[in-house]
Amino acid sequence: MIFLGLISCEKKLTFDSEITDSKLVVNSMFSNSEPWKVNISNSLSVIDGADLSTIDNAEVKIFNGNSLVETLIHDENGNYLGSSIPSENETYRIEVSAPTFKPVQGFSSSPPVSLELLSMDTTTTDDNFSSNLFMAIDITMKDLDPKDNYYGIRVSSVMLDTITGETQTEEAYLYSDDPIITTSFGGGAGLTVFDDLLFNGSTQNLSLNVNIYGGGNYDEFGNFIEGLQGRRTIKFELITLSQDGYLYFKSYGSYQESQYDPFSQPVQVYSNIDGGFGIFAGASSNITEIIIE
Amino acid sequence: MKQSLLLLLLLGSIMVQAQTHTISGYLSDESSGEQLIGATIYESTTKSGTSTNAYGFYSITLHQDSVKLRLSYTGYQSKSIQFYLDKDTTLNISFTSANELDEVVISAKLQEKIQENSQMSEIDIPMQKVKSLPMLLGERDVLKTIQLLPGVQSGSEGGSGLYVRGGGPDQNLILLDGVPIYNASHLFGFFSVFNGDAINSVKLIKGGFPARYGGRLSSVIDLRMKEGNNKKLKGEGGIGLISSRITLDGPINDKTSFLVAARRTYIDILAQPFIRMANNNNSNDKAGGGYYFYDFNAKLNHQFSDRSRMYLSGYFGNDKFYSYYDGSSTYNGQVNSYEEKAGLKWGNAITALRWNYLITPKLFSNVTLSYSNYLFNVFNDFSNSETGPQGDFEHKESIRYFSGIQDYTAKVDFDYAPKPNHLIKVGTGVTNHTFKPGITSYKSSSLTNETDTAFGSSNIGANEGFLYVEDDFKISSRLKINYGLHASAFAVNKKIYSSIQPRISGRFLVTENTSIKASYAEMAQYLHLLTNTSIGLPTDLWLPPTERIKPQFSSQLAIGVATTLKDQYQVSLEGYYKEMKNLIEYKEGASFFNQTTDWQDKIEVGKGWSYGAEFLFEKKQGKTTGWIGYTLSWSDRQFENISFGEKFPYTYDRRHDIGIAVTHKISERTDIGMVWVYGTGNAVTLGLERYGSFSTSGQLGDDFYYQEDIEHIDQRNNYRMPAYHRLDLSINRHKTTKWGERTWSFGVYNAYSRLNPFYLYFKEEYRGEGQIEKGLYQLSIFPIIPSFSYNFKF
Repeated sequence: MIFLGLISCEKKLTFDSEITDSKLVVNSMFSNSEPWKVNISNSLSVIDGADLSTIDNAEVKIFNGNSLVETLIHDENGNYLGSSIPSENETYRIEVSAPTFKPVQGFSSSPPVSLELLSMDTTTTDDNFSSNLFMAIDITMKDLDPKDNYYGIRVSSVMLDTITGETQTEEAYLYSDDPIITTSFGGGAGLTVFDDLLFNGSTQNLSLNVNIYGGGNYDEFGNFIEGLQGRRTIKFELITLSQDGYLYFKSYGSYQESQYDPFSQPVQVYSNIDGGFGIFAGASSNITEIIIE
Repeated sequence: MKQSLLLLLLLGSIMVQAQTHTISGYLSDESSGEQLIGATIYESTTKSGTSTNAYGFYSITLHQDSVKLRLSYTGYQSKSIQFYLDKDTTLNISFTSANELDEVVISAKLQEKIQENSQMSEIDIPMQKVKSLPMLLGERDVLKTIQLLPGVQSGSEGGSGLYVRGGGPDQNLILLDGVPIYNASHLFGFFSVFNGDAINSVKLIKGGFPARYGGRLSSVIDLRMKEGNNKKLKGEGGIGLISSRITLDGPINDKTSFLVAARRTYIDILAQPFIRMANNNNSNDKAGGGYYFYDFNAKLNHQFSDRSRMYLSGYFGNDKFYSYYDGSSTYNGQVNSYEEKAGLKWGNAITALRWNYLITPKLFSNVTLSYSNYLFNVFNDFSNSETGPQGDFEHKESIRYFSGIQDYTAKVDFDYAPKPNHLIKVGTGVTNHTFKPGITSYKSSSLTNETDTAFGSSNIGANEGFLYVEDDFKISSRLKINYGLHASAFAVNKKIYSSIQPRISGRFLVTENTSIKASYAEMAQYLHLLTNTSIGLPTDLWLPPTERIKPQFSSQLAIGVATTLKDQYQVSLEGYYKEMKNLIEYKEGASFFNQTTDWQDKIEVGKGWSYGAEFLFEKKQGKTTGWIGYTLSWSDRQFENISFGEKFPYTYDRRHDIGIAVTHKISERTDIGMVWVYGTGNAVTLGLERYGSFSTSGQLGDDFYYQEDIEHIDQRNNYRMPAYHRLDLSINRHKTTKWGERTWSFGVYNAYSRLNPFYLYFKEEYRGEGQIEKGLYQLSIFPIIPSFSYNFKF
């Protein structure tokens, strides 16, 4: 090893990848519970040291078949908002164009809710020192659709800051060793995803462990935080995902898990944006709220 | 249907009887008594021929008539014998080595004509070539010589891994005296485990596998150890830059001979002064480490009678990489002592007991009992003790990780030559496997508590059996085929897998010197190797098929043409197409280091394809000998959950591969060697673009407060490393002395110091004022490396 260390040498290569053009990146998960919202940003070559940036001058159009649903209006930070609400079971197309970029498009539909939450039991443990919260959640759910379906679970803690009047949301760290869970530590972007392969059309129990770090009146180091209300609401979301959404969050979850392990296998993150990157996916969610004093 | 047709052909073709007699016996080296494997026996009137088997035995049945036999073996003086055959005759013939003749060059015609053999995709590697070609650090290496042949890829820089016709490293059946070796490399793959001085013959088969071989998809590498000189005590050895070796063989009595060969590196010993200097910190603490490998071959053979011989052979080798720290400190009268040892250790142990018995001159039998064990072990032992006025305290911890595979095998083989145009081989065998797919044990003890636990996958027992029959059938003077069936079964837990694999290969002589060859072979492999594509460590796991994971299967079709030019040049051109099923790969994101997950949950099962063309121009005789090989190939993989189910290139998908190996004898005392290799760069996976991730917090009603960069990979193995090429040169100076012969070998590996890629990575460099420049870099591990060694024979 010493010998190899002494004789080995490093050489900079000409990066002969053909990627020189920046591409449009579309990120949107739409549902029938809120108006359209899409974020547009750009991609860069992996050797480009510049920061990624949002695109504020794009034209973002939503189509249903060949009919234009609406053109979204830029709000801020690359977020484009619409006024209409997507309908269930409709397939939508998004077309995005911007100066100096090649136009991109993507397709997806908003699936109806096909997973019913039959029961939920929670056991909560407080960490008195840091106000971290640990919950064991056991749920019973029923798959209502005999087709292949895809689901996600997200848990977050919402608290009211009594000084500013704003709510503060803490995303929970969720994990489970249940065989139906696709990724061992949840999916990408805080969404734990699974399919109904093992319980298609039937009832299924699922046990989850949830850690909510910080929040409460103390931060994770035990320092008292002025103004936060002691009471918090735990939002439990059971989301029915389109297949595109499932593939994206499943692969992104694996990517997050493995990206700093030099011995892990590389992960390709799914994208359904032709000509660019990102995800355009439909979803429907059931939200159950638990109040903790 | 294919199997039934082959069986009918086999039975029908041997029914016809005629007045025949059998000539049988052993062919051996005159000076050592060593049996000659693959020597040819050719009867020129009937144009019938055969060759000696792995024990130097031959049997040829001819019609009663005058016979003209020509017996030959590469590198030896041929012999011709003429007599009237009117009864079964035993002919044991000794050959004189070309080296012992006065002529520098043997001018005899080429003995083994490539176009005559019904087998295709088969190459015999002369051990003399292995010894005279230049090699990394001067270490003679059989497997690295095989890497120079067409259809064989070398894997990563310096490694001795073999990737044959798009197959993986687990798909090579590497046999040492008929016993499989699971990990054939030392020093993380830089050297093979085979000591060239102890090896008698090496044969590589890449396709058209005869029915007697089974259990792997892509190749058979059949190595046979020397049996030991039965005339007088001989020795051979060498002192090299990193290792030394010694081989002794000789007679124990007129019926028994032996061979022992040993090799050990001394990097650890040479490095000790430097390690001591590095740790010279004026304390009494001791720290150090090192690496070594050793291997030991032994063989004993005994001749009970002309009809009965027994061989006992063994190989034992180990690699060990270790470090240690031993120290103490004192604080307020409290003495704290600590000791830590850590390292990796891996190795093979194999033994084989074989008994040859000549039942009749036409029927040769061999019974083999063998044992093979490969074990990989990671260890870390730590102890800490305190004594003094504040009390005594002791704490010990030990973590160990084991993986490996262990086999016990019993088999019997028969060679039967019933008629002039048939040579039938039949055999059966059973193997008991114990797979050890990775167990971590943890022990700790202190004054207050004690822990002793183990986790990981438990050992898996399995049994494998096989039965084969094959016939080398000369249908006419132009048409000859080798056909047969290999049936096998594998039982693991409550699951039984079985397969019947048809094999056929043949040649049609278009002219006296040119033949067209074709072959088809189906293979089954009841074994998987779970390997991490980013590193090449002995951590790779040997795993069995299970209820969930099926065995690997392949089918390979090959067609080619072979010709001999001017009696000394052999040229072959072969095209092949191979399909492989039930290959395994780690899942995306899976890591070897996650030992809490069962291995079956970390893998994907898929398929592979490989196709291409191979050209080999070979010169076996004269002052200048060697070969030029070229391979044009494609190799792809497809897994349902890797690359979203799209087909992607295999890591060692190498479009162009060239290997040139030449030696030239300048004089009796001097010969030179040259190797040049070129290969298309390996396929690796790199993220080429990056973009911002989706944030659920932003999308479901909140702000986009966090996005993470995703490096986009458009496909597994989407980027090509730069091409690999290298020139090696060597010169050997021989001198005959009073006691024997000595040879000084000087070599240069990578003579023009090509910086070949070993590993690619992105690196950020800060250019000041917040400027970051990111670039793609390669690590090259072997620039020009000179070497020398001193070799001797007595």
